[in-house]
Amino acid sequence: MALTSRAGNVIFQFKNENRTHITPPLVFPDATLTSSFSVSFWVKPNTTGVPQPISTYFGTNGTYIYFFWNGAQWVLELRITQLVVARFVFFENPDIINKWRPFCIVRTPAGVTLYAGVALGTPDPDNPISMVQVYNYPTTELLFDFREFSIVASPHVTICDVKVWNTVVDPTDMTLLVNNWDGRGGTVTPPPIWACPLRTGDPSNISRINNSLFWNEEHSWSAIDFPNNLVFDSHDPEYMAKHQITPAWMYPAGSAPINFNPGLTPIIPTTFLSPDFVRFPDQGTIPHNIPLQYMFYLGWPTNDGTGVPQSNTWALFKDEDGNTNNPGPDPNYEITQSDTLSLIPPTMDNTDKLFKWSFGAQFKWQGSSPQVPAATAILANPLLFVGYIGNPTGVQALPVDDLIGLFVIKKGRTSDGYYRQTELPIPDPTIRTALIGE
Amino acid sequence: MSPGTRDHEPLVIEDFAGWWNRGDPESAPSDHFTIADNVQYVHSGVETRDGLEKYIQGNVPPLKVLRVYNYVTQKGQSLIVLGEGGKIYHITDTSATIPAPILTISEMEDFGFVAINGRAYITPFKTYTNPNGEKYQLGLKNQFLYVYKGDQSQARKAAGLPPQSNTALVAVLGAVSTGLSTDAGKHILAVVYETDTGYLTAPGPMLPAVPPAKPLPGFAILDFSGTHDIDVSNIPIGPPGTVKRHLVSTKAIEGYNGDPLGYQFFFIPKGNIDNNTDTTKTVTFFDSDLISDASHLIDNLSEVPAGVALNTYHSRMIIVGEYGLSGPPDSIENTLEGLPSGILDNRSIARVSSPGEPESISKIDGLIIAPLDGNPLTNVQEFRDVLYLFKKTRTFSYSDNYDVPATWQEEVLDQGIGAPVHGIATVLDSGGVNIDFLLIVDWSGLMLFNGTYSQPEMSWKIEDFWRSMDRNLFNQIQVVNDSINKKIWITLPDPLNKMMLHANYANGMNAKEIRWARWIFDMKALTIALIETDRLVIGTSGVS
Repeated sequence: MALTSRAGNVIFQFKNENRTHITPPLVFPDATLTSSFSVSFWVKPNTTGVPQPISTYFGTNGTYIYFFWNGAQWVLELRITQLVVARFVFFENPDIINKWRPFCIVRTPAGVTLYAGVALGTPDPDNPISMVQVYNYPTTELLFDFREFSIVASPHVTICDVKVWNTVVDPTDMTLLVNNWDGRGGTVTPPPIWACPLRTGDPSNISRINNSLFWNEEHSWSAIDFPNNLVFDSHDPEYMAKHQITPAWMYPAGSAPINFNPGLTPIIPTTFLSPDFVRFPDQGTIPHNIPLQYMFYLGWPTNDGTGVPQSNTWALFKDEDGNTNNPGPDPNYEITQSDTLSLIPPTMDNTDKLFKWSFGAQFKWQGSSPQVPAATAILANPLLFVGYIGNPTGVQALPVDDLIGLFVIKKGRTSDGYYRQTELPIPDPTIRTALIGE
Repeated sequence: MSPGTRDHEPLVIEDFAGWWNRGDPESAPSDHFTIADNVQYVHSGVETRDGLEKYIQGNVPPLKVLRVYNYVTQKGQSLIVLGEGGKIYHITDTSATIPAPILTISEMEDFGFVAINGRAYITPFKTYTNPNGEKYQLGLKNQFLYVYKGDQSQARKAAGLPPQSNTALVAVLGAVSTGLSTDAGKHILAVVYETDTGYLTAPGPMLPAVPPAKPLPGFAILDFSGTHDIDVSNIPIGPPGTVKRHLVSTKAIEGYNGDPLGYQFFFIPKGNIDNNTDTTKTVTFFDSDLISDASHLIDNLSEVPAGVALNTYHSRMIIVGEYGLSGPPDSIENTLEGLPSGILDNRSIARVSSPGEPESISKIDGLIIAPLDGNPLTNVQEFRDVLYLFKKTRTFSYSDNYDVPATWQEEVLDQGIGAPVHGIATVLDSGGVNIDFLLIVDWSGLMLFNGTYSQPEMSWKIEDFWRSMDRNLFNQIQVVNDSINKKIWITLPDPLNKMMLHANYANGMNAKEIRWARWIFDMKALTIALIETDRLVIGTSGVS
């Protein structure tokens, strides 16, 4: 079954492994994609041993919230394509096989949070399970946009009671939800925009409706086990054709380095702002005026070896108004040789701003007494790595801003020159040069 | 047939005659092309057009240009540019960034412009739509003519209000003079402001009133003794832009009728206050010294309604195509008062200033009313000492009889051909004429005008293309004529505005010899101007 929004976009889809669709499709009641979403589900590992395929899988071709059973533990990974940005392993007690566990993943503009159901202290018979935050990854950059959502079942993991909300679910509500599993979607307000109908068997034989952590104790009900290797994913070609998260590299104009030399090392630890900034010109390859999905500023911090090098390098920015945007000594913005990328301030949230901002660096030296010559700190090879939702057409778009303004016909010029060194050929002249009569 | 011999007779083209877009392509003469894009004509040849380069060399933010004019100041040539948001900029330095706007009127979609004595006169206008869906241009309602001094200061409303004050001017007998100092008798004194552009306001001060009541004059009325100086006080301070104040007075009045505005005022000799700070002045004068009349200032518009086009004729400034001013609270003037039923604006009025005083426009006789046919005036141009007013399909001529403009004789020149708001080719940088003809854009084509409209039109060869343009959008067409190199450029209306027409008339200014081409750009080229005699500046708004 494929879930489609009112707009016809496939958001959640069940397929079997050979990618054959199952019909008819299900329609989401709420198609609005928001900046926050929540997903809850119950999972039960059936075997130990080798890592198992994905048991739950969220995300797009770009960013992923990736949840799976590794054979011994539940693992949450936050990824950008194959790059694992963060990983959390949920430590279970060894006696976990054939035991259910509820989880809830909440994504907001502030980050990603994982809640797990645990029994705290003396369990309340009516509410024996508490949904507790076990992991939080704060990020305003990695948006993990809720665009597609998939679950992959396997013989090693059983999944049940998947629910999806287009908002943040409060932990208190989550706790009520998992403790009142009544087949009706729980009591969370607002109600989920979708609840997986394949989660249930017949609940009428459940002797204790308020479940303990170990669900299938004391009643004969069991969740539906999906066929082996049934794959739930959302790679609907028609949808993805228009909603690709498109990564792009951007290269600076010119080759002037970003560097700084304070002359002598400072007496006290001091951070110096380099006066050098680079810009990334519009090459016509990135659409204008659309939200960015992710942005990273990359560089290679080094020095010229002529003295004491800098101890730290951080990013430095100028916004579209020319105002310096200094993120300070924030680890998210530090660039090291082992971690060459830094995030970009959230105020640069639109592809247009990529071309209007300037990118630089700041360098810190530790204090020394006596002062000695400092090396020239260099941030080499500045690059931008960005992702946006695009519609790749294979046709290079015209750089928008560069063609706006005042121009003058220049005698003898053989191409059209625009702002920011953009040069375009004269469009399709009928005649190159013809001297008639000779 | 021997190897290498072509199996057809070559067609020898002695002279390439340009683009042909008229009738069936098969009917194109053999020396024309049915496609001639991005080419320009040189002596005995044709080549790819010259490329563009950016006008401002500095690192500038994008500025969507909607209209550009060449503005000749006392320091040289510059550009006056309308950008998005109704902002007008004066760009003088191509090496730097774009300065702050000199005028911002958010409703302004386009503007008319003329430079007089180094000052720029700007009139904001927009496009309206009538119930039939036809578009027309008028000056913005309750907006004004503005004057800009060319120094990056803010443009201000042209003309000026008379002095305003909460209290009346005071005149008392001063010190005793040695001998006679004035003529005895009742005199009325008032104050006139002089602005930094030389405009003289109507006499004042005017005392405030609650609308709909009109302000009343707060002039000083004094019985001169003949032997005392006259001490004038409570002289109001003018608004920013006031550089001088002048005291004016009537001659002695016998039988004062109570209407201070009903008498003739004169400038008092040595009655100038050469600043905008002093509030007192002592004067002495005889009535026979009162020579320079100031009463005509009372009849002038203190605020000039915005129109669509500006030009000059016999040292007078002309403004046409106004909507009008509806009176308080938006303006002091009410030029929409007393209109016939069903008439909402002053679209057929051309306002004419006094000679040498571009801001002095009499409400009484400083206007010409073109025939009322429901269509607005769109353009104004002097040619061979005759003033021409245009509507979209009408041309009228007026001759200066050296009396007030309201008495100028009208002649209907053409009942079928007119011009849109930017549809008359300006020459060089002056908006005037250095050649013996005008080029005028009309629905039927590009017309050559030398006192009458020549037929066939210059665009005869590309008639199909010309007639395909949307008549409702002819206000978007702008034409310039490089009379030295004998080239013409014409911007085109939506959706053709990524193209421009180019013509070369070096072989002759007639429908047969003119050579046309189409220039195509990657972005919308909305407006053009010629600077430095023959350099074409193009203003663009981007790719979409």
